[in-house]
Formats: sequence, C-alpha cells, structure tokens
Amino acid sequence: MEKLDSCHDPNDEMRFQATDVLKNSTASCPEIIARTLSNGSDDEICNLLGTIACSGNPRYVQEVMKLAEHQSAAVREQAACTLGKIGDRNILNTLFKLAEDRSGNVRGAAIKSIGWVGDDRDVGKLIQWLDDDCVDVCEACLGALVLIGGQKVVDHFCKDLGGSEIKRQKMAAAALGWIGEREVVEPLITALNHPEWEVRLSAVESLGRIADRRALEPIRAILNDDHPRVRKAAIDAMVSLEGSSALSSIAMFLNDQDLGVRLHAIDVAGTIGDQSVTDKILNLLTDENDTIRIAAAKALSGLKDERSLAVLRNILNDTNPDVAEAASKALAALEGRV
Amino acid sequence: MEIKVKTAQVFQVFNLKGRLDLTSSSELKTIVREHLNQGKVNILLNLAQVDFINSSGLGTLISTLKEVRGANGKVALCSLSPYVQEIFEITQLSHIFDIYPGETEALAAFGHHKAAAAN
Repeated sequence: MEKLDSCHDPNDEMRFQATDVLKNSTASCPEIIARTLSNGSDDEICNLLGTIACSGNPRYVQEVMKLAEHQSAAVREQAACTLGKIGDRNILNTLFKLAEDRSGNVRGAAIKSIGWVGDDRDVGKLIQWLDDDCVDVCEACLGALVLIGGQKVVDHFCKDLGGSEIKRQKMAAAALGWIGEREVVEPLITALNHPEWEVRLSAVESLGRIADRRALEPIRAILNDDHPRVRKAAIDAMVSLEGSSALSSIAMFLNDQDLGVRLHAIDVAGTIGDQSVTDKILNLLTDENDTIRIAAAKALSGLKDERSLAVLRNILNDTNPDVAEAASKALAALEGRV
Repeated sequence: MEIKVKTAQVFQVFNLKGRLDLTSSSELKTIVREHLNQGKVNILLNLAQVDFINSSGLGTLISTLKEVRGANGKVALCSLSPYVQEIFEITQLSHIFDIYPGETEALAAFGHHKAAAAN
C-alpha cells in the first residue's frame, strides 16, 4: 500500500512507481485496492483514489462509483474527481448524482468531471448549475461548458450575452472567447457597444484571444472607450490581431489620462520593440511622474535604440533612486552588459 | 497548424505551431493515430508555439489522452504559453494532464519513470 499511496509524492520516481503499480496491477493488487476502498480510513481512501486517478486505469471504476455514497465529503469529492479521470459516459449518472450533493466541493468536483467525460448531451443539465450559490460550482460549470463547447453551448451563451442580466452577460462574453469558434465573433463585436463596461471588457478580451480579423475595426473603435480597463484590454487585443503593426494605434496611449493605461502602453511599446516610438518614450523620461520615468527607462531597453544611451545617462542621478536604478539597468542592457 | 515530430528517448515529441482549433484538430488526431499504430505510444506535446486553442482543440487533447492511455502509452504536455495555461486552468485540464515547464523537464521526468520501472 505504501507504494500505492505515493501518487502525490513530490519525487517523480515515487509517483511514477505508484502509478505503474496500478497500471500493471495483477491478481493480488485489486484485492488490496478493493479492501482499502471499502474499509480504509478516509485518508487512505483519498490517497488511493488519487493514485488510481493518476494511473488512468479504468479497472476500478465500479469500486470508485460506490464511494458516491460515502459519508465523508472529502472521499465523495475525490471519488468524483477520480471518476472524471478514469471513466467514460457510463459514470455520468453517478456524477450527476454527485453534482446535486449537499457539499459545494463535491458538486464542483463532479461538474468538472462531467466536463471531462461529457458531451453536448449533458449541456442542458450543466446550464442549470451555472446558477449554483457556490462560486466554485459556477466556475466548474463554466469550465465544463467551455470544454464541451459545440453549438448548444454557443447558442446558450449567445442568448445570455443578448439578455439583460449583467452577471450572465459578462460570463457569456468570457465563455464565448474561450470556446472561440467563428460564429461567436459577431455577437462579441455587438457586445463591444454594451452600456456596462465590464461586459465590454469581457468582449474585447475574448475578441483579442480569438484574433479574428473581422474584429479589427470594432476593436480599433473601442480604443477610445471611457473606461481605462477597457482601453487597456483593447490595446492587448490590437497587439493580438496586428502584432507590431498595432503600435501606430497604441502610441496615443503613451499620454493617456489614466496612469494605468499609460504604463501599459509604455510596456507594450517596449515589448514590441519598434524604434518608431523611441522619441516619444525618450520624452517620458522627463515626465513628472516617477512611475512613468521608470517604465520609460525599462521600455527603452527593449527598443534597443542607441539614441537612448545619452538620455539614460542623464537620469542616472535622478532624484528618485528607483528611476536611477531603472536607467542603470536599461543602460546595461543596451550596452550588452547583461 | 504545423506539426513537427522528433524522437527523444522513448518519447515522440510533437512540436505544434499555430492554432489548435476545429480545423487543425483532425490533423493532430491523424498523426497521433499513425504513431500509435507504429507502436510509438509515448507522446510529448510541446505547445510552446501554440498561440490559440479553443474547445475543439481541448477536446482533441482529451481524446488523444484517452487513445494513448488505451494503447498503454503516456501523454505529457510542456511549454504552455500563459494564454494556454489560462484555458487549462479554466477548464481544470491541468488536473488531467502531466504538464511540464519545458521539454527538458518532461524528458527528465520520463527518464526517472523508465529507470524506476526497470528496477
């Protein structure tokens, strides 16, 4: 048993040995396993379930399914998780039962597992659990629906996105981005005009992930959004769609009214490494805000433009030691000393 | 999607590049199946250059895992970009797959495995 309990050992060798025992188990081993699963302590059962899950061996599915009735919530949770890793559609009824468990942890584990073994036939039930009081259960449900994907899931989230409940709309915009099929792009573009900034944020983040060219102009338009977090996300989405060509659209944010947006734009400019913005970044080295001067010095090391050298040397004696240090590091990088 | 395959120890290392979605999923499934048919059952998927993955792509990874396990093989993933890592967290797939920071770590872990199995 000691070897079987080594599944979570930080040592790779121990872990692999434990899973190998189960993968290659012969006649004597199942008896020990069955006995432990039915009579072991909660800890012993949980450890063994972890090992069975790691092995991926479906041989013990029946024994694990019986644990759905176990009095300990920890055991039921681990059983739900294990079933998802070793089972197939035949375990779904057990998982559906566990998904109605009184413990939120058990419900969450069961729903995650439904995502792993389920398909579009299970979408209807999963959608019901999106309203669960427990946040972990809702998240598990969202993950399961994203994983299953397909038309039913897309239709559900598109309907939610076009609804009137802000929480649902935010979740739908995020989920559609993860599902990422072509048909979700248009509804997400429409959501860029939503009156609630959090929905616009989710939509622009999702469009950035999907990186479909149809979203380019709508994202360019939302660069001027009233909310700074939406503007930041729009900058990222532009980079995702256009790469270094996005810089011309982003340069205006180097002087944005919001500090967070300015810092983000400076960071992105440095990361893209296009020297066309060197002059603008150099100007920021004299900005009255210390944080901006530090960010500008860091960005210059990414731009690798030798015009920066003299200006950076000038701020080695900046009144703020953090700015001086950033300048020193940028100089070291530009001069090839690091 | 571009898929380049090389052999490293007993692993077939699949270097995937591009988008892993509905369009490219069948390509990955086909190439994995070809390797399984040749008895090459230990597969490391290097996702360093995968810049997009969606539900269809994740579904393909799960079916690959099941197919390889059915052939008594092993699947590991490595070099997930922050974006791919994020979707693995959302969908809890990080609990199902063996995931390593890089190819070296994955091969080293598998080397331990083989050594342990031989003893």
